Amino acid sequence: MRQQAQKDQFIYLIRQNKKLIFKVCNAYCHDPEDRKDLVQEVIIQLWRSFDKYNSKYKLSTWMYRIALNTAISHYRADRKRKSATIPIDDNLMDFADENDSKELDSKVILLYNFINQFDELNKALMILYLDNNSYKDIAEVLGITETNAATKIGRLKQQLKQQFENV
Amino acid sequence: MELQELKEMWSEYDKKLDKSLQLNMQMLRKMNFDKAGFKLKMLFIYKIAEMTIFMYLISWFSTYAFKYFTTPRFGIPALVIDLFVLLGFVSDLRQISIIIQVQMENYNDAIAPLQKKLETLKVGIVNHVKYSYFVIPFYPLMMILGGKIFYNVDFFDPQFKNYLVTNVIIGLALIPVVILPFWQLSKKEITPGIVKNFLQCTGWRSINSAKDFLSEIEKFEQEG
Repeated sequence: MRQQAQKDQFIYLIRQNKKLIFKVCNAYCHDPEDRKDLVQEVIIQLWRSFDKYNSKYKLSTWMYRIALNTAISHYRADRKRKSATIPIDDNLMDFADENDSKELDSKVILLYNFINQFDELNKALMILYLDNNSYKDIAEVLGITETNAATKIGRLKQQLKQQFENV
Repeated sequence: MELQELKEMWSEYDKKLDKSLQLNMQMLRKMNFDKAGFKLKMLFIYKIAEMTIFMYLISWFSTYAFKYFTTPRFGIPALVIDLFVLLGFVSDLRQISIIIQVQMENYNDAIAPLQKKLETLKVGIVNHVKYSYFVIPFYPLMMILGGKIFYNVDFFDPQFKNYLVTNVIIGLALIPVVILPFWQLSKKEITPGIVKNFLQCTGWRSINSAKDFLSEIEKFEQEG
């Protein structure tokens, strides 16, 4: 009974934060089939850590940590991992309308092209920054100091600015 | 394009996702969360089994070395093998400690420290295999002990002199054979191609990638 309530609470949480999961998975996984596995894996890891959620951190900090850690490990893992996931035939996350997905595509491709030029850790930093997280939150998610996060973001901004000038 | 535009584009994307992204609730409810296993579980079980065997071997070889304390021709080989097993045990212990830390954190830890632990674990696993090659040239020691334990044969007996010397020479000849892959495994690029293909299965690529990522993380953690 208690577990069902906990599961419902968890499903509600996933529902509220589906965008966060989708954006992280999209940044680290380009293959749509592989992305399905990653979304599933992130949700499973969130469930596994659900009990351990430390309320001293923001809920989004906890979710970013798990989603990004899972995505980076998934990205870095060898092909063996495919056998570790449960095969799924359907998409856990999808667009309500096919046109919505197409409309998103052109702009999003450009957007993700900018993000994809960074390494795994800077990519995480960029996603957190674009999602309007404070330096304090970014530092907490990444495990670096606030000053370090601010310096790095400043540097990434400079880097991007130079690249934008060439677009 | 300005950075501000990128941010605006991202927030527009966020709004669109809000509208159009939907969760397959039926599928989510169907997911069997309880069966989701811990990825490092198999490695954990394997390491525990290996450590149990190592513990048994350590106690056995230590007792044997102590028993033949006054007969160094048997005591010393037992002690040397004991030392190798002990090193393997310590390496396993380090890996187990990282696995437990990762298991306890369960991806809950901050990105840089957790990824560092995972990559350190990868390096540890490959190094464990790499260092185990060092035992090969010492096989005459196992032969001496095996002969004594299983057949009560003393290979130091003059009648086995040629046999023992031949095996010691083979053991010494194996040193470069062992050093070559060890040395190659520490390199960024392996040449010639045949050696490279042979070493692919030893985790050379994964250790290099893990080391690269570890230095990336360290660079990332550095201030300024």
